Amino acid sequence: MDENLISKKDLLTLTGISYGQLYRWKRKNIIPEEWFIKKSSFTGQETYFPKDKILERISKIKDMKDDRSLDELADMFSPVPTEVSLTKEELIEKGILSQRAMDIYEELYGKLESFNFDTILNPYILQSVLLSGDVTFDEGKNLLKILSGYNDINKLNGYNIILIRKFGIGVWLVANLNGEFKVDEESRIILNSSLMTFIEALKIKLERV
Amino acid sequence: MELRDYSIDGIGKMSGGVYRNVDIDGMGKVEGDLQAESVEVDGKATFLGSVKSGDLEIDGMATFNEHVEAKDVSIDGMGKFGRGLNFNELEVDGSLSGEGDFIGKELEIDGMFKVNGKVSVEKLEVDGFIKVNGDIEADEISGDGMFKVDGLMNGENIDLEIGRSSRIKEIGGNSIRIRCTNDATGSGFMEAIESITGIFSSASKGSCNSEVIEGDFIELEDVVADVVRGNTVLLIGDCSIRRVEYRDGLNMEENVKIKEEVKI
Repeated sequence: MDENLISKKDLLTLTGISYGQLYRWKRKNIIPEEWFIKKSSFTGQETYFPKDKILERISKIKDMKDDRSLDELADMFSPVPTEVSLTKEELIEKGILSQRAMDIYEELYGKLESFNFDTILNPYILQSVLLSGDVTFDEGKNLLKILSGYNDINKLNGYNIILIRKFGIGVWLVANLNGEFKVDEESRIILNSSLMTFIEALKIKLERV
Repeated sequence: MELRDYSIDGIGKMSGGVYRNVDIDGMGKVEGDLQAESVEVDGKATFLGSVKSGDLEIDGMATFNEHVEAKDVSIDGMGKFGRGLNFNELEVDGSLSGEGDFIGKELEIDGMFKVNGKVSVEKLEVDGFIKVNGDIEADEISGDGMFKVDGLMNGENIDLEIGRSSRIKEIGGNSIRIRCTNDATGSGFMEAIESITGIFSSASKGSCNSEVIEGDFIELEDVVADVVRGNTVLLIGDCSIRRVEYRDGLNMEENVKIKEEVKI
C-alpha cells in the first residue's frame, strides 16, 4: 500500500498551480475525490496525492484547459462513456481503429452494425497494445477475451491491465491494485497500464471525429 | 394525452402516477412514484415513492421517502427529504432537513437547512442556518448566518459573515473572505472572561472555527483556525491561528494571534 505520495504543498510548488485551481478541479471532478488522501502531520492536517497519477492528470489538464471548458474536461476524465455510434467503415476511415484490429475483433465476436463507446474501447485497447510492439498477436486476443467479460465500463475505473511473461508465456491480469506488486525473478512485467488512460485517449480521439 | 389534476382536500391517499397539478391541502399520502408538472403541499403530505416535478411548493409539511427531482422548489413550511434532491432552484424560507445529496444550480437559504450528505450547487446564498454533515461545493458562496459544516466547503469565491459558534471544518477555494458577525453589545460576563483569559475573546463575538482554510486570497476577521494556507493572507481583528503558511504576503492587525508563520 505504500504508494508514492506527494503533499499538496509540494504538488502546488512543483506544478505551479494555485489552491484555487486545485479546488476548482476537485469541484468539477476533474481530479477524483479519492485521490485526496488526508494525513495528519506536525504542521496540521495535510492532504497527499498519489504522485504519478496526479502529476500526469495535471499535465494533461494544463495541456488541454485552454481549448476546452472545465465541463468538457470533466467529461473527458469521467469514466462515463462518450455517446457515439459509428460503423466499422467510419471507424477505419477516421483512423480510430485499424483494419487489423477490426479483423481480430470480428474474428472473435462477429460483425457489428454499429459501434458505441464500449464496443470501440476493447478493439481500441487491443490495437494500442499491439502497436506498442511488446504484445504478441495471441496475447492480444487473450486480452480481448478477458476485457469482453466486463460489461460495465464504470466498474473498470481504477483498474490496470498487466501483462506478465515467463518463458515466453504471457498472462494477463485485469486488476484494481492500489500499490506495488512483485513478480518472481524469471517473470517480466511486459505492460502495466491503467484502463483510464485508454478511455481518456479514446475520448480524445473520438472528439476529433 | 391530456394530463389530469389531482387534489386531496380532506384526508386521502393516491397511488401515484403521472399528473399535471397535484395539490394536497389536507392530509395526504402518495403511495407510489409520482410525476407531475407541479406539486403543492399546503397541508401535510407523505410521499412514499419518488417524485419528479416541474414545480414543488411546500407551505405545509411534506416528507419524501425516496429521491426527489424538481426544477423550482420552494419551501416555506417544512420539507423532509429521505434520499436527496436534485433541483434547478431551491429556496428555503422554512426548514429543510434530509439525507442524501442535494444537487442543483441555485440554493437560497433564508430559514433552516440541515442535511446529512453533500451539497453541490453553482450558487449558494445563506441568510439562515445551515448544517451539513458532508461537503459543500459551489462556485459562489455568500451570505451571513450560522454554519455547521463537518466536511469541506469548496468554492471559487466564498464571502461570508458568520454567526456565533459556527464551525466549518475545512474551507478551500480561490478567494475566501470570512468575517465573524460582531455582536457589539457583548455580555458583561463574556467580557469579564475575555479580560482574564483572552481565550474567549473571539467566542464572545461569535467565532468561526476551522481546521484548515486554504485559498489564493484569504481575508479573515475574528476567525479561529488551526492552519491557514494561502498566497496572500489578510488577518483582521481577533483572529487566532496556530499556523499560517503564505506565498506572497501576510498582513495582519495587531490583535491577531499567530503561533507560527511560514513563508513558502
